Amino acid sequence: MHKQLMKGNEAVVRAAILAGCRGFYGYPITPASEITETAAELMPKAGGVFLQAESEVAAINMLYGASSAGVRCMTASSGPGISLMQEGVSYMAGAELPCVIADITRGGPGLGNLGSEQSDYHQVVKGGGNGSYKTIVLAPHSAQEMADLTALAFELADKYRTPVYLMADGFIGQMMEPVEFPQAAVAPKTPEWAVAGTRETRGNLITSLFMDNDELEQRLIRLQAKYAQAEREETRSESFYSEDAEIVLVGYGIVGRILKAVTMEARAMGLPVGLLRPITLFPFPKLEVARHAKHAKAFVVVEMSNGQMIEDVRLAVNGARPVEFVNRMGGNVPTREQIMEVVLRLVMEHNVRRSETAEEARLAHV
Amino acid sequence: MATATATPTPKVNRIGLPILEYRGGKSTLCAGCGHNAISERIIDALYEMGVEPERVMKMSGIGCSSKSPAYFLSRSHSFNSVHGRMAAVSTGAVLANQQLLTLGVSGDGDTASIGTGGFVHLMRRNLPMIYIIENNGVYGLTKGQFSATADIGSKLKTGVINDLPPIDTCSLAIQLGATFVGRSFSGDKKQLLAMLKAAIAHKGTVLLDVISPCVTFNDHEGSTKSYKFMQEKDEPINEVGFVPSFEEIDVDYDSGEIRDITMHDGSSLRLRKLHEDFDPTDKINSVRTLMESHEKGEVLTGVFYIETGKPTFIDLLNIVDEPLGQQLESATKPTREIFDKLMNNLK
Ligand SMILES: Cc1ncc(C[n+]2csc(CCOP(=O)(O)OP(=O)(O)O)c2C)c(N)n1
Ligand code: SF4
Ligand SMILES: [Mg+2]
Repeated sequence: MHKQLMKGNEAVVRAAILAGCRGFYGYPITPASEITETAAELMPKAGGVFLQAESEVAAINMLYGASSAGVRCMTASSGPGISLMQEGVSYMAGAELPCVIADITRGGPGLGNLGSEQSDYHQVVKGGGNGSYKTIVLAPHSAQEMADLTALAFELADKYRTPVYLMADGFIGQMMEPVEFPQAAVAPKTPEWAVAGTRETRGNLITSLFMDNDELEQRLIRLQAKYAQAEREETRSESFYSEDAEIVLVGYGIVGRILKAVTMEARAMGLPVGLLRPITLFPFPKLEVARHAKHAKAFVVVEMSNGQMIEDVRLAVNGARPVEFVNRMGGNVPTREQIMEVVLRLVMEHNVRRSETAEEARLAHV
Repeated sequence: MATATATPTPKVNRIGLPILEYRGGKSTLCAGCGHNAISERIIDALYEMGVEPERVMKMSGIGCSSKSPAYFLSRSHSFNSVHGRMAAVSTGAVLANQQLLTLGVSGDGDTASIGTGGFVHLMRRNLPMIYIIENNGVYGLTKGQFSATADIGSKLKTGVINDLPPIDTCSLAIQLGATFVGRSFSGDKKQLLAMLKAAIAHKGTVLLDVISPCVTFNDHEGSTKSYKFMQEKDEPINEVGFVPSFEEIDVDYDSGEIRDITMHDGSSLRLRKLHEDFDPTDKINSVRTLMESHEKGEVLTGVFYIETGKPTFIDLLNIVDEPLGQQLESATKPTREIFDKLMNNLK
């Protein structure tokens, strides 16, 4: 298939339909409405259902129903709407039901603003509802990844029978980039655990309720085993000039794009700087972070929040190296200069070696 | 020869304030948006009624409509709350301070979908407040998706047609227990102003559903919430007049056609009959009339239901008159004697 120029938000819906998604239940909210609007247009054409729910609470519970019946389904929202969905996500995680939730983040807390922030990390990655559960979270940094990771989200949701988030920000949703889709579409089929209204599936029980303590504990142990398996098999990250880096930048989503520019600038100056970009936020690439700690002298975590992912980086580094933090909030974006300033300070403080000439560095690394 | 140009003294209302004191910030809504006209009428009503601006608590949810309290009554207290939660937040605020006049502005999206749960419970509690829905049939702020008050057959600019029945917030409110319910149109200055003034005089929940066209997303051919549609289909059920308690009632009218209703503060709501057999104090009759109007494709406006004298939620809760946050310690702190007695009882 040829590459088409499109917005990340549109790529999500096209990829979802190709992945066999046939149910979209949403409620308008900026900056996620575009996904909902594209779904309103395309889902019926693909023979699926689009419904504008009366609230986010309703939308997530519609997924609860649709997913129980074995339909691949999704919703899209943003900060305040995601908060409202947390109850449903908790139920679905408990009942082991797959679904895909696109969170196109905005500023918070509360109404915040419409600017891009990464402050949903805690409520999305750490399981914002009640109970001992986790959700898989994928963090694209381009329109192409919006498509690829949407497809992956449906795969993982089914494989692990769990809600999966696609967490991006308004920039990536709005950005027009060439996008290529898979050659073949996934044909929707009903999983055998679903309650599909057939004789065979009549006995299937989907529930998050276990009145017996031991029975609930068994379910929870099984959930934890699934999360452990996801950590082993699904962790993804991108290493960008980071294998020999002495200063390792860590950032996801749109920040990853900025950090690539910072990395190139630093490399052009002959500085061994690299980027480790988490693509899965849960499972978090903690082994990768730990591996980088062996050759890094310091880490710089950059986030558009008060510092949420940095907690996971610190846990992975486990005190072995200093972890610096650079951030902006309120919809502001960290600048290259702001990050460079910290990088240059760390270069001094940690006696980071600098290649003889920038030219040499370029030859060595590019 | 020098002429002394005396600055004319500005016109003031009965508490000595010029209308300027009732204005708000400059509107950031689209020019021509119905919500702007409603803000103007709110200003006029409070000015003419001589309400002290500081005595007003403005509540709202989230939406273009919910932004509008910023554009009237800068001198009042304002609470721009949560999408769909104006009812609940207002309940908390009104119970905390029942001495203020509470005026809430919500939208059809804010009220009739995400906020329905809170809305119906506010109505059944008869909490004393004015609840205005600026109804344009769409979610203006998120770029014009249909709301739950959109009529069957109404068309969006994109060509999408709504095929679900609208929620009639007025008949809902009447059924649930609101005590003053009516519908108006942002373009009908006279009717809206009279209804707002009566609303200020009422004690209990007032629900005013005001059709307020969204010029950007829902004012085209095919829309049932456009200016044009309203000009054609607006069907007043009664002519609404209001005589405040501080004005003389002029007796020059044909009493057979007019129903005079004495409000809590002694004002008079005067409804001139325009439809045979319509009685705004008969719930069942009102709801039936509203349902029949849907069948006929008319947009009924006017006062649909009024019930004076029903206990409000404040009466039922039997709470003290003073704001809860402003109670004097002398009133809330038990004396040593009472405290000791209480402790002894617990022994
Ligand atoms: C929980 C939540 N979901 C969605 C939104 C996005 N949102 C803001 S206003 C609005 C609808 C507004 O419609 P309405 O109340 O009719 O007001 P209008 O703009 O038409 O005046 C929506 C969906 C939000 N702010 N919070
Ligand atoms: S978008 Fe519509 S509702 Fe919002 S301000 Fe403009 S005209 Fe009014
Ligand atoms: Mg509206």
